[in-house]
Amino acid sequence: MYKTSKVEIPKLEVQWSPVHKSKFITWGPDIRMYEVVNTTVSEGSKSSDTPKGLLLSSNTAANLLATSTNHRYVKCIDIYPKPDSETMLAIGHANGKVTFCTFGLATVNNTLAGLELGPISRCSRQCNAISWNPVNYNLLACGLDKYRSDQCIQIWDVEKSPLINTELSPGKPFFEFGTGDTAHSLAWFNSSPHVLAFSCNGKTIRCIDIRDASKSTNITQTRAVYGIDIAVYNNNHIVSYCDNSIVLWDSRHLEKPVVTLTQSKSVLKVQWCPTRQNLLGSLQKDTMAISLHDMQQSLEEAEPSALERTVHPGQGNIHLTSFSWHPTHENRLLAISQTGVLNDYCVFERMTLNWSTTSNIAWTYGQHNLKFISDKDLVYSSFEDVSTIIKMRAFSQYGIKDFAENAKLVDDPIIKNVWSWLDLNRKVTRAGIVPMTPGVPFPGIKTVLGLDSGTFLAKSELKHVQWIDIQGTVKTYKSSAREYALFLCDWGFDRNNTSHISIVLKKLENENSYTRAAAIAIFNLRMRDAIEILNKGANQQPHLNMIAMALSGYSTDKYSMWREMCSITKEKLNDPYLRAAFAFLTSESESHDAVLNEDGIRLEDRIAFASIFLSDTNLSEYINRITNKLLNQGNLTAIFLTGSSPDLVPLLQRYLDSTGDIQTVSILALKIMPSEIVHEHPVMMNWINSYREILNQWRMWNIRAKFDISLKAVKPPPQNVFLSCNYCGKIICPITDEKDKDTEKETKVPRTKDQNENGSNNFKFTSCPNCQSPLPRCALCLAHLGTASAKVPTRKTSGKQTSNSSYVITGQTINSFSYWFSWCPTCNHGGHSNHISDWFKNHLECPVADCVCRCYSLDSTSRYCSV
Amino acid sequence: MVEAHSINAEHKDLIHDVAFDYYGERMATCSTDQFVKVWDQDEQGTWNLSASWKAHCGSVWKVTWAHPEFGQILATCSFDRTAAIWEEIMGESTEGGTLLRHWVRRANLVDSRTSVTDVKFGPKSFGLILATCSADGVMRIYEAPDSMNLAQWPLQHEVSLKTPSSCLTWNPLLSTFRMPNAMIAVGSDDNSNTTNSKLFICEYNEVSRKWAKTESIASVTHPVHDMIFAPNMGRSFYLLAIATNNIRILKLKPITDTTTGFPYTVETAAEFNDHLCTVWRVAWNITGTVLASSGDDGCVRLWKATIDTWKCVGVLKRDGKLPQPQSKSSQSTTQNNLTRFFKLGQITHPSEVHWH
Repeated sequence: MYKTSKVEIPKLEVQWSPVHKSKFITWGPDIRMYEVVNTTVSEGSKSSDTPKGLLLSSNTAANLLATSTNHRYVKCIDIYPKPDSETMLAIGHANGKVTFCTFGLATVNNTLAGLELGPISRCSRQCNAISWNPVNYNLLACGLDKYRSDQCIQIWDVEKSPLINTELSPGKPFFEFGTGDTAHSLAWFNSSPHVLAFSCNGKTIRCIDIRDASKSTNITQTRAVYGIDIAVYNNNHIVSYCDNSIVLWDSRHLEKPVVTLTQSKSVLKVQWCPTRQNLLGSLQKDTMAISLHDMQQSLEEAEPSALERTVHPGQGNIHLTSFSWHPTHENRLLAISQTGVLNDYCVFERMTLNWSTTSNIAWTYGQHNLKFISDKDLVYSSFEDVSTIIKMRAFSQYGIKDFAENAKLVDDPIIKNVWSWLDLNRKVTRAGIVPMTPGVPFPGIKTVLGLDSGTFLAKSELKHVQWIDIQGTVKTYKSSAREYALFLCDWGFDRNNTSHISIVLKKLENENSYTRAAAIAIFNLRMRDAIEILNKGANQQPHLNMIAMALSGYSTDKYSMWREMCSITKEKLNDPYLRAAFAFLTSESESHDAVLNEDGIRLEDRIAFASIFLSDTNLSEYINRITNKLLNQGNLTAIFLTGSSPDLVPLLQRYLDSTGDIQTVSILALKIMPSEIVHEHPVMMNWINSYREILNQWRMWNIRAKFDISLKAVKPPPQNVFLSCNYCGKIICPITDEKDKDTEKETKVPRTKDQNENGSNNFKFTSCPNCQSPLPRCALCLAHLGTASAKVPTRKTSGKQTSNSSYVITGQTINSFSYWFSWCPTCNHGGHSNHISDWFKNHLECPVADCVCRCYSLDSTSRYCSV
Repeated sequence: MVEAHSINAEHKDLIHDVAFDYYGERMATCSTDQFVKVWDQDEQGTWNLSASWKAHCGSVWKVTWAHPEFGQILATCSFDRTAAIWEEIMGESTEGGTLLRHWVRRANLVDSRTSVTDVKFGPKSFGLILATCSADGVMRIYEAPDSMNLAQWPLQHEVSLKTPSSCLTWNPLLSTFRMPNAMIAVGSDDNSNTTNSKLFICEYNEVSRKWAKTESIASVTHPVHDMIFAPNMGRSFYLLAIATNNIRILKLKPITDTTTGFPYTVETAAEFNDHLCTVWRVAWNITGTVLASSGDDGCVRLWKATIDTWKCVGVLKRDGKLPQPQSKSSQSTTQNNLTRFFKLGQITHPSEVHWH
């Protein structure tokens, strides 16, 4: 393209226009002005325009507006900053001349175009720096090389000072300074536009006030004299560079640098970001990256430091030569490379982000904004966060309800199956159909087959069973253990009883599982049933007709053509059950591998099939193989095999490792493992506590409490709180210890007050059972605190009073919460809990007079309530 | 309608950290403007500013919440070489009966001689314990012996890592574990070389009763900007997400039958370069199953494991939009409307949505 012809150009500069927000110039041997256009906007309407532009980024392009080629030896350029003016450049030349250029778009307003500010001296000297005053637009500062005793800083007032036409008499600058010096760079202060910072003679930087140059000026000795730039946000910050160092200055204490940043390569350019405080951009020689220095200062005397970061505008590996921050757009910069490739780049602020326990993701956007999405947003659901599923299930009381209910609450088919199977398992074990194994409340198929601890399968009896409707027999095996396994596979029907089987098949038909029903019929050697089922199913799936027809041709002849053809075509069947059925019919060996390795069939059907048709060695080998396979996959279906044997723990662990479903795992452990094992097992307790922690974080305290109840159902938690009498120090609860409860079913409690007998069921203690001293009063109702604990002894209703001085306690009921003791651990005041909580609905301070304790608000959690 | 909600944080400068409390109902932000702000979520899900105060004399790098069991406690760390402990206390009530809450500095931890770059509370089961790391490469452990007295935070341990530290994370051990298993990973953002390890594991030694550096992860050689252990959630391994020149997820598997050396095998579970050259922050969801990250490409990316393979399951641009090949609005126009909500676009045909 146009650009590429200029590859050899060594130095290219770029600068955004301070006036026109979408225009920028580049200069090298020639000066070009571009306008940035949005490619995405123009795409629809004027798609023909876009290809002309120079692509700057994925959504911006630049159109070349003008080129100015008749400038030679350009040393420096600054764009006239007056708002609403045409783009006009002040160009400093190597011969010391300053010319103005408007790209030939001069209008009547622009009288400067084509004019020249000359060097006063006839001898030419290089113009090193040029800068328009950012406030008084008419002032233009030029920094020049040394020439005898001439001043190196010249400030021209382009409106007032007699302007010079090229050949006419040279004018006089508005201000001059620096006799016999060389100026390297200069910059105006934004906030005090009469002050100019400049560097001279390769060793000093000084600030002068052009209103009175004779006043003592800030001056410092440094070698870093190049590229002086003053921060827009903080005018005290000055930066300059030389070689490998970037030096920061504070204009108020110019004597010594604030900090020196040493770079690995020599610095080409530094510029403060105009839209962000304390952000400095720098470019080093022969790099593809722009370094960003985020200056950090603290009020103390600590030396400031910079958070360094590099950005890579553009993808190529061509070195950058310059860059320019956009004057107003946040963190936008334009970089130019050696080959003139431009890149419009927006520096993203470092984004911090976090993820709350309530599924909010928050991140920072730009400098001042936070963005967040929550699980209520559609986009959140798209990544299927397992925690939202867990939360939803927890809300629906998953795990607290019974097995069959749990199955209804989950969507995952595997977990659904597991709960249904557990329900079945409990039914058959409770009914005594499958024998109980000690320590294994839910025996798996491995357990009932006796394969659990490496023991061998009980010997089974070989039987040749006749097909029901056709000639021929099939080898089957029978033993009581195999029968149990069949029950656990829900094949627990009497296989010889026609009516039993047809009930099962009917049920499957009603579920539209025609192929499964047909396969089960075939596995039970009922060819006629299978064909009938398929014919019925053909109403919905017409191709089943063909299958039925094919089946009807079956004979037990081992060498028939039917068998030969079917074993070839069966692979083309899509339905796994049909494939398995044909595999069974055409199988030549007794291993039945094709059926058993058919993963599309439910595991329970495969195991049931195996327990009928496999020999003892094959069966145990198959069961072990499939168990290991499912364990490795972390497939929860393996629970059919393991039941609640110790093998379940590695299975659950594997499932948890791959899915993160801590909920199902901890509920399963809790519900089906023997609770004494669970309580002693650190891994399982870890799961359970992790799940409780999640519930706590979601403030699902009611759910967690219910979960805790099932956790501690066997082992009640130890008592945490004991109430003792203020006077005698003895415990005032009638039942204090679990041991007492076990050893002594009937506890004698001294009767306290006669009033309690009067028809009231509330058994109240208003005084210490030992010393008869009264208990403290409720701070609100002023009655003595009554009930001792949550558990209230109930009197025998028979009215049999053994002695007048004691009650016989026969049982316990949970006392209503409102009569519980409650007190503030800080001020020790308290009362009936319902009174206290009512009080704090409207009050801040403790109900006891003179007590200013803010009991309720001390507990920060009290502001939250259970979800 | 799907929207990324927007809050104007009213910080005067760059926000360095966002932290949610245990319940996810409160949020703290900190910034270069030296302020810390606390936000409370109301029933409608809107975040309201509840406190804002100048916390330090320099940029506040990190803010973190203690477990609510200890009260409403925040810890902050700053460029001003200090870390601070803050507690919310009840002020006088106003007419409406609502309490004015404000935050008081309970302790100032001044041991560091350089910028304190990270601060994190330890697992609840260890009590009120705090780890900090600083730019001079020292990891410090503080402990409040009495959780009712937040003014006392004696320095318990110091571990010198000899390289500028940028971030740390506690291994989220469970309540069933005790102190001997305590582990902290510390990252370094030293960019002077790319050969030395930038990630160290420190462990508490039960015998010597000291914290010590026990392992450096040799595979991490680029500056580490952030890292975080995933909540363990009963898994048999620990996941450590690292924000460095790419996103890396390390899997630490305990070795049970070892007596000496580092008792974990460390393997890289995933590594992604989608954020171009720099990843800034990483965060896990509550179950440690999905990871969010932010980086130089200006996107928030979400990562999830299916079985053992990690993959990107979502990308959000920093303004909350879904990245679309033909974005209708340029950067500049969105930036001028800082407070408006951004529509993410309606997903009618999931297959058409541009997910990576």
